[in-house]
Amino acid sequence: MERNRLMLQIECTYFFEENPFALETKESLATRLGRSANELEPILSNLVALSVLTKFGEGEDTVYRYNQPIMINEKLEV
Amino acid sequence: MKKSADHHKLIQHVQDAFAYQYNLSLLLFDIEGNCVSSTCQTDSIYEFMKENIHCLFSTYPRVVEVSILDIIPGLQVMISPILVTGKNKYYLIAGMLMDDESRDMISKNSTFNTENREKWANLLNQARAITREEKKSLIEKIKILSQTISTLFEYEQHEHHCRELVNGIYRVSELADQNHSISDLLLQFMKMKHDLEFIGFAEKSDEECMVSHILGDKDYTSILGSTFIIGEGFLGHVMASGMICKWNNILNDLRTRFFTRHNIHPQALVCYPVCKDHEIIGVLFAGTSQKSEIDPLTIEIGKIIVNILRSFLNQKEMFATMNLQLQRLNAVNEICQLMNRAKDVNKIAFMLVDMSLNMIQANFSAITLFDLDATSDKVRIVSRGLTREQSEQYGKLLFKEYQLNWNVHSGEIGQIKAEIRKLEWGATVIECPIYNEKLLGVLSVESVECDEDSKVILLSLASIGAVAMHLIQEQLKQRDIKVACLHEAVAQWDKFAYEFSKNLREMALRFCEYIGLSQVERTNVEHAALLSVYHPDVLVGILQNDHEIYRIIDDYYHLHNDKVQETKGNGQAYHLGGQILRIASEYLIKNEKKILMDVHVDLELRQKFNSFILQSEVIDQQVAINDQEYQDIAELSKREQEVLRLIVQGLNNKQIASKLFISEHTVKNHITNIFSKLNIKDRAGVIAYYYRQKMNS
Amino acid sequence: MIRCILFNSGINILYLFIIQKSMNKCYDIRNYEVLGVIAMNHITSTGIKGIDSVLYGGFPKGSSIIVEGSPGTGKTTLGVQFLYYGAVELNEPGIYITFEEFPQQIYQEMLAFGWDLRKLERQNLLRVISIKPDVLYKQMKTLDGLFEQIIKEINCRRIVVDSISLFQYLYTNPIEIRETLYNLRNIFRKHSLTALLLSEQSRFNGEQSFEHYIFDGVIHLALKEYMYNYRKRTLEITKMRGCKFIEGEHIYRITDRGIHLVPALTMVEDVVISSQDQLSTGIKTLDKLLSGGIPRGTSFMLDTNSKANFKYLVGAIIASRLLEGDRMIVISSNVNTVLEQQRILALYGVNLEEVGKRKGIFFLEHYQRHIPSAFKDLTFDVKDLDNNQYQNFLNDTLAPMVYEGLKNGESWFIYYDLNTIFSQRGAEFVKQIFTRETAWARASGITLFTLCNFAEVGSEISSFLERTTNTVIRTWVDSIYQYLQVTKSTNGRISEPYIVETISDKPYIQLV
Repeated sequence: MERNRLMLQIECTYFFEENPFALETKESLATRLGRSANELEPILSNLVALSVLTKFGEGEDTVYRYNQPIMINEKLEV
Repeated sequence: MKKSADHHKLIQHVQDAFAYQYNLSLLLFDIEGNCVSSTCQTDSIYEFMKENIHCLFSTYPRVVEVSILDIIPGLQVMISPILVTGKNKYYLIAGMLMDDESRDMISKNSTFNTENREKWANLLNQARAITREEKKSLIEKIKILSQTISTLFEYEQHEHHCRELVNGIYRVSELADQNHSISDLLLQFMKMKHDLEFIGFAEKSDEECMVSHILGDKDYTSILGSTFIIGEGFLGHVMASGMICKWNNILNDLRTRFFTRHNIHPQALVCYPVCKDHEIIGVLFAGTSQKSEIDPLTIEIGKIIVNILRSFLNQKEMFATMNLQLQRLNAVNEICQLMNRAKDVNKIAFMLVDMSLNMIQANFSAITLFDLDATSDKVRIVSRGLTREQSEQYGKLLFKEYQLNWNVHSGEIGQIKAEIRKLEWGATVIECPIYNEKLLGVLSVESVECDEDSKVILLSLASIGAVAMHLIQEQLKQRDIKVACLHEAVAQWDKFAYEFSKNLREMALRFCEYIGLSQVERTNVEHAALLSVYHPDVLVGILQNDHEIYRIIDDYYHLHNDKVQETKGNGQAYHLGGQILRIASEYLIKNEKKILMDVHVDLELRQKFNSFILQSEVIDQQVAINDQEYQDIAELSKREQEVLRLIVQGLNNKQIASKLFISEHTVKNHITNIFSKLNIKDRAGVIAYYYRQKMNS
Repeated sequence: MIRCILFNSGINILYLFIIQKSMNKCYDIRNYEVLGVIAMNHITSTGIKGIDSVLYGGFPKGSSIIVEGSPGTGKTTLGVQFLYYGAVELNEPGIYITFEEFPQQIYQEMLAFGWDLRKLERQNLLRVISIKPDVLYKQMKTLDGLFEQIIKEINCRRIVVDSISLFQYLYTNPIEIRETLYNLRNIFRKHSLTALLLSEQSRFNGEQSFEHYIFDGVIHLALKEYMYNYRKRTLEITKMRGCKFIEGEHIYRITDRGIHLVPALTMVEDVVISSQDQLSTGIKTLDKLLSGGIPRGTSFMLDTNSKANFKYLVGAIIASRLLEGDRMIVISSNVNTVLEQQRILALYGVNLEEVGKRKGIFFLEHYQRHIPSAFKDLTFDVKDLDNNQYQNFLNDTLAPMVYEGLKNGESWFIYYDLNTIFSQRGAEFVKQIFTRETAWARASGITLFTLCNFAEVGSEISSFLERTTNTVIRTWVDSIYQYLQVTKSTNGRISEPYIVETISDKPYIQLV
């Protein structure tokens, strides 16, 4: 359902924010979040498209990893 | 039903009236030979007719006008077809007739056998003699009667038909809800009047139009997906003009190629534009290949259908929008809850960046946080989708625009708005200020559409972020106040403890910096140092929300007062902060620079503290060291001093001997002397002693 | 007290700064706590000090080592400790790969040891990766795949794989398994990673598994029954290429700070300690067995049942003392005359006459024998003294002389042939006098060296003697060979029997 898609996407994003170094396949992520791997597939693709996640490999064995946002923390010469 | 019953009665009446007037029997049969109504003078005629109707039909398989039929030579009936909407539906049979001269001849006919004689005799008696002129006029009369009956039937059918149509429209309107699709609607439309062979719907998107739905007697699905440009062909014309159009006799019209390509050969076509908000969003089209013209009634009905369709589409869109809004609302709610869990500002920043991308599919998103201490010009930028340079550039821009120039009167609701900006490299961003009593930062998301929805969502996220950040700030402030109060209170009762805790805090803080703890950890240790004089039990309640500090104080208390627990809970070592305080306080109390022999304090930490002390001492001592290379040790002779120095440098006996140009044996003797003079047993001890002397001087 | 131990295992040099934990003067590695390690050329610390000791430094860098053991033996803890220590102390970031557990679990469990793994991850010193074995394997073989990227990201130097047994469940064909493991090792080597591969297989699982052949080192962890109710955890290294190690089982415990291993009481080879308080015996191996030599001021007994080669043993010891400049009192044995002693000592480079001239040696003569003129002044004739007189003599004449010498900073050494005393003055006398003498010697810092034959004096006396002596060395002949064994020592260790071999150079015997 469309309603669930966005929620699931947020759930996935939050998981990776909490575990920024985790490496997950869609199966392992499904186990962690308690969802079905098929549901997660389009969402993971979406997140890769948004460059929130990077993916390695193809097919069943694709591994996803969180892409840390750039953080700049400095004095700017204004 | 009632209506048709009425019609039948009427037909019966008319029949009866006619039969009575002309003294005939009339029977109405349908094409299958069932008697629909009858008016008979006698039952025998009725029976006879019923039995023999099929014979009659077989004699005259096709009756197109009023005809005479001989049942037996001389005995006649008239048979007239009744057409309903152009088709033979019924037969009217009028009888029995006889030429007036024939009666005797017929009765004398030897073809009668004895069985039927009576029957025939009956029939004969009842037959009406009729002259030729009478016959002709009767034929005319029957023609009129037939037409009347025909009209009555047609009228009934027509009414029936109308009712059907109304029902049909009703059914279509019923389908205009979320559980059905456009195809369902079109199907019902087609079922209503069977004069349409195909019905379809073409939708408009951008500059192109595409057939999205088709229904028909045959499989016309190949036309799905065909596109046409506005103005092109029949459909294009309607799409462009916005007027209902119908075409007849278009079989040879070139514009039908659009259809004929897919095996649809229309002879007549009607197209309706479907509008929404004064914009044409599609075309409903229908046609037939059977007739060259479509029934006008159908066309009218089509208009109603189009309106229903429009409402239907509107409703659908509204539902979709509503769903989307609900979804987004749920999502924002979820994000709000998640953000509440965040314990530091960085986390919140990360979440805002990621979640805003989730809500609005965009190419990049960034948060620029102005340092919470408004006087500095430090900026923190978290971004995704931008390069480092771009982020920096953008951050600077925002800083200039917002931090310095942005003005808002607090208290006025609705002042916080999202701004749209076009960036150098072409992207358009929505900028939402993160504001809570003061401007904390800006959330920027690139947007392709910049529609109101996106703006609102981002503003919500920005607000949530602002509240969360503010909350954290407040908590920190609260804590600072708590600690300061408690610390100041100590001064009232125990000035020494007050000073001591201040010094402890100084030392601990410097040490924390030395070993490179993070800001958060340093602050925790700092606060714990200030509160170190309190017994942990006193602080349990007060520091409920500040677990870290409490733990540090608790562990420090145990270490400091030698209340070392044998098994520490789940096996965890003492908190690093507690250990730091312990070492620091020992140092302050005893003012000794030796390694603390407390096994519960981590050895490496002790060493680091030692180096830390040495380092700070070294800085102090820099001047002193330069003056004098080596420390003189009072009790030793000159030679012994020399030997000592070399020992301290790590040379072995042989090396010392060669360096001083004496024998190894002599070296050994000197060493023995040094040992006994200093009361030290071995080399390493001497080295340690030497350095201790140095440190102490 | 800070001591510096120089390790030289032939391949590399290691400096260990250690601190003496107890006031026990024994230079046993157990009494010390390692303060720090100065960087080695190609050894890297294991993260557990005890294991470092067993390996004389640590794992050879870049090697792949199997850690085998049944569940509960602490493999995971070992692995994490290895990585934690490497990351925090040696700036060697690491990766922990788990095929079955969730990182969450590991973070939680390791927190109990005070190891904050999440913090290390944030500092880019560690990565905890939960992944399926085949997925990992594929990524490892991919050019610039996930694996290589992470290694580059944190500049990884160490890696732990938990556990390779899972590869067995992946492939059924042993050839495939072997190949996979072989590839794994090569990949680790390529990236110069020091790798620990945890394995569930217990050692006595039938044949030795081929893993043991492929990898560079094998460590076994076991949980054994001990004293009926208890368990002891043991670690044994059976293979470590490019590295010496102490063989046998070592006991370890899992404390609240991680794994703590205590190396077993076996020989510590190649340890040379520079100190002033131990007297070398002149025989290298014997010195090592005694962790340096005989501690000054203790008593030291040689139990010999054959009169064969102890001559050289005794000779070597006495010679080394005299060469050091000690002053000596010799209670002559009925076997050796002064002349003979002179001869033997000459072999060791001691000119006994010179020694005599400096009053470095005195003889107590119990027998009627000819004394060479050079030593007449140095000989006390006690054969005619009865026991009381003898004791008085010891107290009034000998003792003061010794004290005088001690005050001047001299070192005294007394050599006894106890058999002489037994035969000449009786067992009772020995019992009386011996305790007193050892106590006196101890207090005065005099080292006592006695010769005895336990078999001859009987079990009661011999146990008495053994009790009152600090160090006991036995030597005996067993038809073909002569053996020597340290049966009691101040460091508490018993050695295995060594073969006494005569050689042509000083000290003319060696222990093998």
